Amino acid sequence: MNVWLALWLFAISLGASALGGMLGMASGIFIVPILTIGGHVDIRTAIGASLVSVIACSCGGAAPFLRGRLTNIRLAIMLETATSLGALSGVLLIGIIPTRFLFILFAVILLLSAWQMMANRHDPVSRNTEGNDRWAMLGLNSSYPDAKLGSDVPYRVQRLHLGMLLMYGAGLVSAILGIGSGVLKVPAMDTALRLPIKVSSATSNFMIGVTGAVSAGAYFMRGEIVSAIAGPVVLGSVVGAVAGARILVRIPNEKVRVLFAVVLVGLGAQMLLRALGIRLLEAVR
Amino acid sequence: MTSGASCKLERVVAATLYWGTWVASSVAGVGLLLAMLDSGAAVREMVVQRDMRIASTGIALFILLPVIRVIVMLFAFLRDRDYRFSLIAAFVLAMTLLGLLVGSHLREVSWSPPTSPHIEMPGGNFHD
Repeated sequence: MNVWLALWLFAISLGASALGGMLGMASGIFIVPILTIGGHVDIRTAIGASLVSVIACSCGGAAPFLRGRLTNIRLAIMLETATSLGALSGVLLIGIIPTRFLFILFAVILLLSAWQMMANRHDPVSRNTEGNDRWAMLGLNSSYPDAKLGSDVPYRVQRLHLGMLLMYGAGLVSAILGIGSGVLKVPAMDTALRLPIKVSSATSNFMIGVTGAVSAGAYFMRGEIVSAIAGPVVLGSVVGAVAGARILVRIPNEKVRVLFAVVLVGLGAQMLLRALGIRLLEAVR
Repeated sequence: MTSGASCKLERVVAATLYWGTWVASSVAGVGLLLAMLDSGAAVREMVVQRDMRIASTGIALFILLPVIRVIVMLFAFLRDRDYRFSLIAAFVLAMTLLGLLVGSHLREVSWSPPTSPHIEMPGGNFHD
């Protein structure tokens, strides 16, 4: 194996994952464009490597959220029925979708993410008691400890059917593009289910491992996961995720967000150009 | 869900994922390191002396880790006689297994050809 390529992949993934972790984003959305545009890696190989790194980050980062009672595991397994079904549908679609369309779809997701990054997320105001509780029998409602208030804040899961539908889409996109699909999960968690942001972040991070496992399993069995590329990417992502979680507090959030939005737009434009067969920054080889 | 049983499940799941990540990372790391040491003399030639079997095992462990987590949850729900959630967990487990099955069946079908140059790594690809 090529040592320098492995080190480059490790460093790039570490950086992407650490930066992504600061804003609660999965690194997959950066890894696929960087590998295909910067590393001349085939997009399917990049997607395979990215899927494993998404799983690794989900599993590696889950423990503190679980111990802090932020992750709602009953809601997670419930929504995983939709994301895993979506991922399975995605796996079946992969053979049919032309490579060019993958680049276009990726560009759209990147641009949407940039837009979402600049929009402010708010905790839903009426999250408790009002209205009828259609899903009470499932025991999905819970509470989480709020450090500021110093007490447990109860919340109620709402519009589960709409949340499930959006989660199916998130699973589908995740399998096709090898990303965590945060761009679809944020509206599902915030707008449909009306969860507090902390619970929503912890729960969607927890879910992405299983969603990724459905499609990564299919990629692996098909022999599409190249260990020489996926290995360094996965290790870099895990180290980066751990490092990113530590730096989280120190850097002003607003500046990082603007920087990220710019990077996302830039990568989106590159992916779009690639779909049209134009390679601007790739004259190196 | 602030009941003792559920909190305990959260701790078991947390421990599974934490230690599982350590094991998978170590196996993948050692596998890559061995492959690197092997090719140390031939850095520029991009030649692979040793296959990537150990690193691939590490990657397989990463993919299996969430599946193990679902199995842990399934058993916990069964023990609590929560049959509705046992069924839900079983469905998710079935999806992950179907993913593996679909993948091994798709081996024979060719996906659309890549448009970008693939980095050639003789022997680096895992086809077992």
